[in-house]
Amino acid sequence: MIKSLVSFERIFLFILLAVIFVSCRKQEPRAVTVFAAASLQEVVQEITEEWSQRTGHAVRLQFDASSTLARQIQEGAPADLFFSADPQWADRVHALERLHWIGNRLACVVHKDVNSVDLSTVESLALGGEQVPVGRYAKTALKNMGIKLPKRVVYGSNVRDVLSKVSHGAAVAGIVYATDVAVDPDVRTAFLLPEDSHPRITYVAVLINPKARDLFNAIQQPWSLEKARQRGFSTLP
Amino acid sequence: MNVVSLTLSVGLTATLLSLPFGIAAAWIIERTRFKGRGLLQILVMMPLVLPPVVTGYLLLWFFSPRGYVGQILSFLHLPVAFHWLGAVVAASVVGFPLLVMNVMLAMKSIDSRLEIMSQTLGRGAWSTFWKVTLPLSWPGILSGALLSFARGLGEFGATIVLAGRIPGETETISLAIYAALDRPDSNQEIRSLVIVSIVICAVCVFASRYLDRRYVRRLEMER
Repeated sequence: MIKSLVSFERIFLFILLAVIFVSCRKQEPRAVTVFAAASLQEVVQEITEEWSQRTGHAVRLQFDASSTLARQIQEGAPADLFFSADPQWADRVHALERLHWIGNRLACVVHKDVNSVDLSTVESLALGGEQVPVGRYAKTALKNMGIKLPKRVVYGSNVRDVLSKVSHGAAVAGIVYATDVAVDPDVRTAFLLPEDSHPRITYVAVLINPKARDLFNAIQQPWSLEKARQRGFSTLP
Repeated sequence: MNVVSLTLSVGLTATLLSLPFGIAAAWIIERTRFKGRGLLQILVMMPLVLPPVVTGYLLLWFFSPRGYVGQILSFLHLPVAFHWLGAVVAASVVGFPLLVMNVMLAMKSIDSRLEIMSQTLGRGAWSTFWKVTLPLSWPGILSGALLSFARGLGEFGATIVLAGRIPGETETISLAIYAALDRPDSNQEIRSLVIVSIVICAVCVFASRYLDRRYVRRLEMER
């Protein structure tokens, strides 16, 4: 008799192998998971790296639009500490404690080869999506400045996506945070938007899990705030 | 423009655009002794397995508004990257393998003696292709077109990279759903878009299956 290719033992062995593979995935239960607004990428990386070295705790970082992160947290994503680029999205997350951390400004950016830009006549503009904080701030600012949106608006999924849209030539100009420009050498700031044209841009740190309390305290220390200042963020009074 | 009709127009244009190329590619691979046809087949099949984001990246690199191709195209008023045509190109490229695969299968199942007979009876290769090969593989072509249309409709990765999300121009159903996910009050909108996608794709798959079965039955009757 020819032995069947699909036997009970083989299926069993296969499932066993699959289970072993799945359970072999390296997990660090002690790592602190931080979700942060895309614009904070460099500064949060730098601060958590330093904190990791001091305390020996591992940190897992995830950066995206605050709106996207807030939704993921609401759906059960395991974030221990959340940095939101506006208070509204911070409010949607169940918090143990929250803190108004640092501030930022809006900048109109263009590709480095573009000489000047007039927002009221520009043919295309890159903005953050309707829910993304940088998109909301920018729309409010344009409205208050009396500027109508151009016909072509390219929406980015987070502020760094907006920046890359300008860099790739998807739009002539884009509105991002003043601190983002340093990330992309192909993009330069045309001008800063007036600060009174939009609600004050405040990053809110939300402590979700007590596991992250030490890091939550560390970001309030002078050395952390100094790192933020060096990258162009403003510290709050 | 409505998201659904925009999606349909992108998908339809993509399918129509890829049909001639898909048939030509299948014919070259299946019916000629062209030396590079193995390579062509690999190239054509790549988008099926390549991560769509990678496909999108390669397309963006090729069509970049700052590159030569992109500048020539925008000079011709045919801008691809971050324009409607970009969504069309992304949809056709990812749907292309399904089209070619189905057309190849259809051509494979044609009795090649019919084509040889046609040529011995005086028709040239070109005329044989039009009068014999094409009509006989028609159901396969249609079923492949339907599948590639359905695949192209849902394209996300390559579209978001090449075309970006521009409402009314490149924001197809998938992109609209993704953006709506972040909106707290959008459940109703997402649900209706999801239902529309399921219905469109189900119709395409069923129609494609129906065509295939009819074709198989016809082949059996001929034997």
